[in-house]
Amino acid sequence: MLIAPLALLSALAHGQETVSEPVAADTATTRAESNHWAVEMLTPPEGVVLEIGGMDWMPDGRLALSTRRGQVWMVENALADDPADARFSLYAEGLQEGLGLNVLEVPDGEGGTRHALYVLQRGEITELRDDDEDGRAETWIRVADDWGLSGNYHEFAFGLPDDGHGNLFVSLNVGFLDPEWWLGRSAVPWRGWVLRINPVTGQSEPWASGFRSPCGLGVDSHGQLLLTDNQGDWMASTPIFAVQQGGFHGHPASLDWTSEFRDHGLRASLEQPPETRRTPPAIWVPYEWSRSPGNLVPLPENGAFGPFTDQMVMAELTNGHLMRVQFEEVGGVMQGAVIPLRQRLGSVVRVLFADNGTLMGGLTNRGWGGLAPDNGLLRVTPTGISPMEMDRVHLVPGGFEISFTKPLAEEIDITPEIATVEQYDYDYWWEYGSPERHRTDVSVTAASLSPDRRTLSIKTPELRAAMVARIALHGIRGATSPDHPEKESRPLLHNEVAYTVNQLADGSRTDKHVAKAVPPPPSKQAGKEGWLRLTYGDALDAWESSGWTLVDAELHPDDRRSFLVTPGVNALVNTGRGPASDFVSRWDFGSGTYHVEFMLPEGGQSAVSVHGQHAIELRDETHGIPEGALANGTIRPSLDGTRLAQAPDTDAYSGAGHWHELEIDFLAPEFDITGEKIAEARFSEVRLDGTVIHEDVVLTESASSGHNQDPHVGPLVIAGQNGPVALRTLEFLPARTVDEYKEWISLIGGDDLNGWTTVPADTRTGAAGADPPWLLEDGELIGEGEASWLLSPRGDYRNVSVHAQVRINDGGDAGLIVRATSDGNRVMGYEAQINTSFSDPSRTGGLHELSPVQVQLVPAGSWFDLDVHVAEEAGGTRITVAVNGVTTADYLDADRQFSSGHIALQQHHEGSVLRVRDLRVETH
Amino acid sequence: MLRIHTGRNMSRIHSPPPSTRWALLLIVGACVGILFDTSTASAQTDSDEGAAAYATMCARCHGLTGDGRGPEVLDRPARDFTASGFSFGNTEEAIARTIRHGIPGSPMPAFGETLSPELIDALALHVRSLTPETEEPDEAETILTVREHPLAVRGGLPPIAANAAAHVRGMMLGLPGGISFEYRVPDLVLLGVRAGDFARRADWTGRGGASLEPLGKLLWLNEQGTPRPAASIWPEENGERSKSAPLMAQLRATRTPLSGASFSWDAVQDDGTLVAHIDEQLRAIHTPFGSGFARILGVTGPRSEPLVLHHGSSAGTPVDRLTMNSWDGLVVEQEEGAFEITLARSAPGAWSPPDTPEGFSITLPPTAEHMTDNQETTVVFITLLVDGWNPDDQEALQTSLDVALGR
Repeated sequence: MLIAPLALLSALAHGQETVSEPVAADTATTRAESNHWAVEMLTPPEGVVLEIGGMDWMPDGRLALSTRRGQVWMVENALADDPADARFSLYAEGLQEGLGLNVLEVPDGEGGTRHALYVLQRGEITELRDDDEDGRAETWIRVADDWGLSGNYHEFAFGLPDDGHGNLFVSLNVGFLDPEWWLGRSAVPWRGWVLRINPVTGQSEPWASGFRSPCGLGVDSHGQLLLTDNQGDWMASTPIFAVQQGGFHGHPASLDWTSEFRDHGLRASLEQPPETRRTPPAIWVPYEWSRSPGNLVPLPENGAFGPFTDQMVMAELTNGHLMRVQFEEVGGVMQGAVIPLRQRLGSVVRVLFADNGTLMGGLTNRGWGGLAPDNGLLRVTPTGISPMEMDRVHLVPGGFEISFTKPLAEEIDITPEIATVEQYDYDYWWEYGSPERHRTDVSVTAASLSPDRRTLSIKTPELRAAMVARIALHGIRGATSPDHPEKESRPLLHNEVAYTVNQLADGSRTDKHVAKAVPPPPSKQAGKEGWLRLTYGDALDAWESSGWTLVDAELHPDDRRSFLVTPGVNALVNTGRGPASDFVSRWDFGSGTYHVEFMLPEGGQSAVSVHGQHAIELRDETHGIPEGALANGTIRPSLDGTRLAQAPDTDAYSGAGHWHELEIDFLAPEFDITGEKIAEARFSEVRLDGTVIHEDVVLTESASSGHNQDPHVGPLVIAGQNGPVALRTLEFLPARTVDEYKEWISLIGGDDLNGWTTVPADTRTGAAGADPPWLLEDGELIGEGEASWLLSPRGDYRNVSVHAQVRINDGGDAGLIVRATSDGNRVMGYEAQINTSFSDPSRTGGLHELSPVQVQLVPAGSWFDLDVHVAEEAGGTRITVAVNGVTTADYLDADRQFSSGHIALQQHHEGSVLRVRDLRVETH
Repeated sequence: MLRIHTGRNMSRIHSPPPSTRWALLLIVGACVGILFDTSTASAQTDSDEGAAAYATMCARCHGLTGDGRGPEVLDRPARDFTASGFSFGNTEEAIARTIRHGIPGSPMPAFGETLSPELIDALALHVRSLTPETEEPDEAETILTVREHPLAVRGGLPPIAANAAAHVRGMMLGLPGGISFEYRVPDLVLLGVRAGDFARRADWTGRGGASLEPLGKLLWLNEQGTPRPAASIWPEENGERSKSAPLMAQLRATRTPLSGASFSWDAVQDDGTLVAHIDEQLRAIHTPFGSGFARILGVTGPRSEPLVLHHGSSAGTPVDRLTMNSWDGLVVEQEEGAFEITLARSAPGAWSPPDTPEGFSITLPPTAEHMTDNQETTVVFITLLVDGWNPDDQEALQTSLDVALGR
C-alpha cells in the first residue's frame, strides 16, 4: 500500500474520480509482511475439506472446529512446530451448518463447573457431548432455537462469542426472498437481530436490531460486543459496530419485531429510511480493503503476536486479509481506526488466538466468493522481527496523535507534508452499498514528533465530524537499533489508515452520521407508471382461473410436451385440480398495451384474446403444425368469419420451454352517439420478444358479434383448454384520454387547507413548511404521521365523481372516502383503498369491505389515477372504483348505507405517506 | 379520437442499442440452430456467444478477464470475478438473475428487458468460467452413510409426499442395517421410515440453505403425508371425556451411541406446563412374519390428565383387529397380499380408544398419587410389513415380537 494510494490521493486532489486499486495488487507489501508474520497451512486428512465456521480451544489443548458442512473436528497438536504433526479426528457430523463454536465453562449442577462444547447450527445452539468417551459426540442437546427460519438460503446464523459471564451471542441474517430479492427482509422472528442466550437456562433475549448479514461477532477486552456486517442494502460499506443493547443499527427489516412495530401491526418500509434512532458503526472499513468481514478477536496484551496495544484482529475473506482494528470513545461515542495487518492469506472468516500468541485462521467462502485457498486451517506466528507500524491513532482536539511501534529514524523531516488526509462519507439508503461521497482534502497545517520520537502529532483544523478520515503517511522509517546500526531502518509497513470520525474531540457534538439518510431513489418498479400489474402479489385475485395454479414450472425433462411443476410462485399454469378453463380477467380493459409473458411446452397451444374476441395464436411448432392450424403469432380470424386470419410479418418465436413476451397495442372500436360503429378495433402494433410481428391491423368484425355488453371494453382471455401453458407478469397500460377532468372542480387549488377539517379534531394541517400530518405543498396534498382523516369543506356530496392522482409509499396504507361522515372519532363512508404493500390484504382498486381487491395493481411509490363514482340508482347506491381508467370495483349497495357526506382522505398509520394531486370532483 | 399515451419508451424496445442488437442477431442465428439440432454443436455456439456478448457488454466495466478492471470509470469498483466476488452468490442461477435485474443503486444495470433469456444464461456460464476453478463437490462429499454408528442429521426436509409440506427444521436418524427415520422437529412427528441409503446433504454447496435429500426408499408413510400429532391430552369435563387436545413437543436431545438411536422430548401444553418427558428409542424389527420398526417410548413426568400417544399407519383397508395378551393391533391390507400390522403394547391401566382409524393410540392414565414423577411407563409401537396374513398367526406373532424386542 505504498505507491497506489499516493496516486489515488493525488488524483483525487485534482478532482478526478478513479477506480480504487485493490490492495491485492501490491505484493511488495505482502512480502514485507511475511518478514514479521509467518503463515502455515495445517494439513487435514486426505480428502477432507474444512470449510471452517467456528473454532475454540478445549481445556486439554485440542482445537475444536465446526464447519459449514455440518462437521466438528478435534485437532491435536495444532501448535506443534511442524504443522504436519497436527492430528485431526472427526467428533461429529450431520449438523446443519456450524458457523460458530464456543467451549464454555458452565456450572455442572453439582456446585462445580465443567466445559461444554456449543455449536451454532442454522436453527439451533447445540451442546455436543461424548458421554461414552469414544471420541465421538453421540449426544446432541438442544440448548436454544428461539428464532425463525423461512427456508430462504440467506438465513445463516453466526456466532458464537460469550460475554465473559456465561452468555452466548448469536447474530441472524435477513432473507432475500422473492419477488424483490434485492431487499433484505425479516420474514420470521429475529432475522437481522443479535440474540443473547444463556446456554444453561436456555433463555433467549433479543439484544439488538438493524443488521443485514452480520457474519462476524467478537467481544473486546472490555466486554464490549462487536459485530461486522456486509455491504448491501442499507449498509454503505463494511461496518464494525460496537453493539448497543436495545439499539437499532441501520437495516430496517428487523424493526418489524420491535414492540413499536409489532404491537401496532406495522411493517417497516424497506425503501424509506426509518425514523428510528440509529446506532452508527464505530468504524467503517474502506470498501477496497474489505468486501466480506469475519469475526474479531483481541490481540494478546503481552505483545506475543505483535507490539500493538489494546486492539483487535479482524478476518476478511474476499480479499483474504487480516486487519487491525482499534477503538476509542470520543464524545461518548465509539469510533476508531482500521489498518491492514497481514494480507492475501485466503478466505479467512474466523480467527482465534492461542495462549502463546499464535493466531489460528479458519477459511471458507463457497457461494460467497473469496480469495483462494477457500478452505482449511492456517496459523500465523510472529517471526520475532518487530515491524515498524502505526500502533494507535488517537483523535485529539485539532488533529491526530499517531503512535508507532518503533521510534522514527533521526533523519526524517517532520513537516506537514509527512501526512495527507482526506475525508468522505456515505449514503444511507436501500441501494446496494454506497460510493464514497463528498471527498474532500483536509489540510495538515502542522506536524510534530514527541521527544521519544514515537508519537507523531498532526494538526487538521478542517477535520469534520460524521466523516471517515483516510490518513496516509509518507517517507516514514523506523530508527535503526542502537545495537545493530548496520541494519537498514525499516520503512513503515502499512502507511494508510482509515479513522472513522463519528465525533470530534473538541467537545462539539453532532447528530449526523457518517452514512447520511438521503431521499431514496425511485422504487425499482416506479418507472412503469400507468401500468396495472394484474398478477403481482395475489396472482389469481384478478382472474377467473379454475384449473390454474401458482407454481414453478419448467419443461419436463422426460416429456417435453408438458411441464414439470414444483411448489413455487413464478408461473401460473393450467394444470391444477380439475379441468382447466380459460384464464379470464375479472375486469374489462379497453385501448392500451397488453403485456403477457408465456411459456409453451413442445407442441403447446394457446391464444391471447383482447376483449375475448381479437385473438393472437400462440403455438409451439417443434413438431410441426397440424393440418389447418395457425402458426404462432397469427391473428385469428374474426368470430363471424368475415375477416381472415393474418400471418405475422416475421417469425419471432424462439422455442418451447422459454419465457416469451407478447405485447399488444390495441385500439378499441369507436361508436357515435347513436351507437353506429365509426372505427373498427385495431392492433396498432403487436410485438413478440421485442420484434414487431403485426403493424396497424384493422380488426373488422360485425358490430353484433362478440359477447361484450360494452364494446369499448372487454376481458383479457388466455386460452387454457388446449394443453399446458404457463403465464406470468400479465400487465396492462391503459390508453388515457387527455384533459378529461379539466372542467371538474379542483378541491386543492388554493395555497392552504382552510375549510378542511380533521378527525381527530386536533390533528395538525398546514401549508408548505408546516408540520405533518396533513399539508399542502406545491399543489400536492401530503398525509403522513399519525393516523387521521382529512375532510373536505363541503359535506353534502351525494351523486358525485371524484378524481385524483395518488401515490402511496411502500408499507403505507390510506383511503379516499366518498359520502364521508364522522362521529368525532372515526370516519365512515364508501372507501376506496390506497395500499400496495401494507399487511392489510385489501389493496388499491378495491372498495373497502364491499368489493376488495387483493392483487397489487400499482407499485408502491408510483403515481396512479384513482376515480370513485357514487350515484343513486333504482336498486341502491352504485359505487365504482377505477384505477388508471380501468374499473376494478363496481358495487350496488342495496342498503344505501351512506346517503351523503364529505370527500375525505385517510392516513392509516405512522410511517405511511400519502400524496394526492389534482383532486377534482364533479357532482351530478 | 383516442390518443395512446403508452408512457413507455417504445423506441427502446424497437431498436435496442447497437451492441445489444448485434447480440440479438447472434442469438437469432443460434436459435435457428437450437430448434433443429440440440446436439453439442449448439452448446459450443452458446459458449462462443456468451464470450462474445461478454466482450461487448460486460468487459468495459468488468474487464475482458473478469478482473473488475475495465476501462469504464465507475463510482466504485466492478466485481472481480477472478477473485470469485459476487454480490448475491456465485451459482449460475444467481449470476443470471443479477444480469437480468441488475443491482439497483450500483452501476450494474439490468439486462432483462434487452437480452433474451438464452443469452443471459450463456453470459452467466461465461462469467462462471472466469472464476477460479472451484472444485465441484464430489458426489461422495455430499452423501452421509451410516456405518457402525447410528447417525443423526439435522436440516430442512423436502415434502415426503405429493401433497405434503416441506419443513425447514427436520431430523433424520439412521440405524446400521439401512433403516432411517424422518421427523419434523417442531412437533417431533415421525413423517416416514425408509430403507436403503441414508441422506445426501448439499446445503453447503452453492449459496447454501438447501434441504436434505433422504436417499432410502420410503417403506412407510405416516398418514399419507399429513400425520396426526405425536401426543395429546384427553381432558375430562363433567365426568365426560371431551375432545383430545394436541400437545406441543420440545426436543431435548438426540443420542446415537453404538447401541442405538434415540431422542428425548417433552410433551408440553400451550401454556408451557410439562405433561410428560419421553425417551423415544428407534429399532429395526425382524420377525419370521416380516420386518418393520419399533418406537419404544419411556414416559415419565407428572400427568394430571390422560396422555394419548399416537402412532400412525399408511393407507389401506383394515381387515383385522388383534387383541393379544400384551399387544393390541390393527391389520391393514395395502396392495394385493401386502399387509401392514400396527401394534401397541403398554403398561397396565392403559387403553386404546376404540375404532381409531389410521393407526393406533395408547392412552396412559393420569399419574396415580402413589407413583413418583420418575417412575417410567413404557409404551411400544411396532409397524410390521408382511406379505400375507392369517388370523391364526396371532399367538406366534406375539411370541416373535417379544423375542424381537429382547424381553
